[in-house]
Amino acid sequence: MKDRWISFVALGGIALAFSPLLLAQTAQQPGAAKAQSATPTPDLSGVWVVRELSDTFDMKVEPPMQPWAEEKFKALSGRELDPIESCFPYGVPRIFLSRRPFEIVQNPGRVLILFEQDHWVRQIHMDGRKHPGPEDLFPTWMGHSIGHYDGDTLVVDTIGRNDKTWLDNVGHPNTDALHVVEHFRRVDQNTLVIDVTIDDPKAYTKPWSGQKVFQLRSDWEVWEHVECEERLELTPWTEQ
Amino acid sequence: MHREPFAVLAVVVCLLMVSGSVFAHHGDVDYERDRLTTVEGTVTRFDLINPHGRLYFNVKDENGNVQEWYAELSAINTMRRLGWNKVTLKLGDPFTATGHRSKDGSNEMRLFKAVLANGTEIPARRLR
Repeated sequence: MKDRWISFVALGGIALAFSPLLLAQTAQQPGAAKAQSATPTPDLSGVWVVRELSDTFDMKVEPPMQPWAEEKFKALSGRELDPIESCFPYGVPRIFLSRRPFEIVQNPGRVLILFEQDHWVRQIHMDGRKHPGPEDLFPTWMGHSIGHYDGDTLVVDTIGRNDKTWLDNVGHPNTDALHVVEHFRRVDQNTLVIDVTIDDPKAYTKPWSGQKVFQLRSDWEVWEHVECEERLELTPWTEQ
Repeated sequence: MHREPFAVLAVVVCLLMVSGSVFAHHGDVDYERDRLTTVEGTVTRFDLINPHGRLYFNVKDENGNVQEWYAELSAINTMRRLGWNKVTLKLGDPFTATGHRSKDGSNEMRLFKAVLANGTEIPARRLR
């Protein structure tokens, strides 16, 4: 009996000794605590695939282009000029016109979109950070994305996209001034709607919008897909 | 018309080498989109690769002469999701190919579906 009391006291002492550590570890995760107390985030997770393939974001009106952009757009004569035909990345937002599925993964501080198309990953920062300033913004294919939840909608703001690819399959151009705002909304269990607004004052006289609808494929996984693998070839490295 | 298989294969390989993009991304415009052609053949080569799988097969014409055919398939993942795997068709397997034939009249098609020797019908294009 006496031994049992000693054991209780010893266990209590150990528990007390470790409790500051436990408390400290809990305190080091403000993001998790904040996520629990915040309003529930809409569940957008899952594997999605475009419901109807199209070459554009189904705009209601033709984007109002600046003269140089219109001239460039009208000069496009064939698919041989399409950057993706030369294995260029699709970039934002065009990758949503791909026939290949993508998976949305929602974490407290970040949303990841895993695209099957060439296995691209898109990061959307949800931790309250701002876009980098002009000095630190290096143009990329996916750009720099920050997001927040507005009720049932994920709102994503993207800048820093390069001008090396097209906005859609018909060749609407963009410049490094491109600003893309996307609204992701799950309108029912099996349907995701993404509204896309393009604002690029260097290429267009005013912002324009489009939309794509995606269906849930809960029986699918995102697999690896390398579009141009048949054209891959080893070439010797030469010092310039 | 009978042609040596090796010679045809050599031509195909050369074409692939010098003009990968031609085979990489055929547009729908190259095929008879509103018409399906069905032929019976035996498999001579089957590659599930990106961006389009390739199926080569021999078809006997009405005179008993062997015609070499080529069918363009979808990408690997699309084919897998349609139920295909690496042994769906094996060398020498008889099967029936239905697809959109090339507009130029060559023995080339974009495969729409295949019917295997055991009667199993398996789609080759995802419909949406």
